[in-house]
Amino acid sequence: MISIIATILFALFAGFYTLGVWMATWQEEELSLSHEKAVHMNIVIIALSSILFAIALWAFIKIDWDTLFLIP
Amino acid sequence: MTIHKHWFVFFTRMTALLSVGVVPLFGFLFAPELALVINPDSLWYLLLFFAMIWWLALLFIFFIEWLDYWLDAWIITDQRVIDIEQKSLFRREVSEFVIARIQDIKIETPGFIGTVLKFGNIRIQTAGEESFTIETVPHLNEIKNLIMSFAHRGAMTDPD
Repeated sequence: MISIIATILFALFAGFYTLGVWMATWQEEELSLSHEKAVHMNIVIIALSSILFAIALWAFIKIDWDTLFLIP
Repeated sequence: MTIHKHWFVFFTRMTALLSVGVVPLFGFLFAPELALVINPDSLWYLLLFFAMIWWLALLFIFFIEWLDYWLDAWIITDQRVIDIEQKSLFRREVSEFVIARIQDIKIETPGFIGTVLKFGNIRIQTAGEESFTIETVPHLNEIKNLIMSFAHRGAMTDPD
């Protein structure tokens, strides 16, 4: 179940950033702005968010949700 | 010539974002107190999980802010000025006017930081009573002089 939710979330994130990259590339070409800067920045952001996402997922799996709260 | 907003505009936004970025560290700071109510075996992972989610959200905001900064631009040619304003991720406004129609250019320096870092606003009045404002641009005088030189050249070659 967790892996399905994680996959969906990751796909949403990746999809959104890919759209951003596509949009920035398109606009840079359309307006002849200095080329590829937005694309490079977006690739860095995608890589960083993938790392953060992977760590978040790893931590989430490691949490023992059944004994999380200590009941006095 | 393509002009973007001055880097200071982006810097101020990023400073705010960075200051919010330290919030999860407080969780680690108060870990001993939290360990009284949360299982210590899972506490570190829980804090790490929330820190990552927090930073993912901030990265998302950074992405949108950066795109907004980078794709907001003015293109000045010897014929016209094109103003591209990125409103949101997929929404933008592009307006342009012919340089020969320029009647008046005013530059404004907004205070101390603007004076030191040499940025400000350029307000352009055209013959159609319309006015365009280019906000927080660097090299104010150079840009003003460039537009004025194009306008004079345009006025001299204009048959009307």
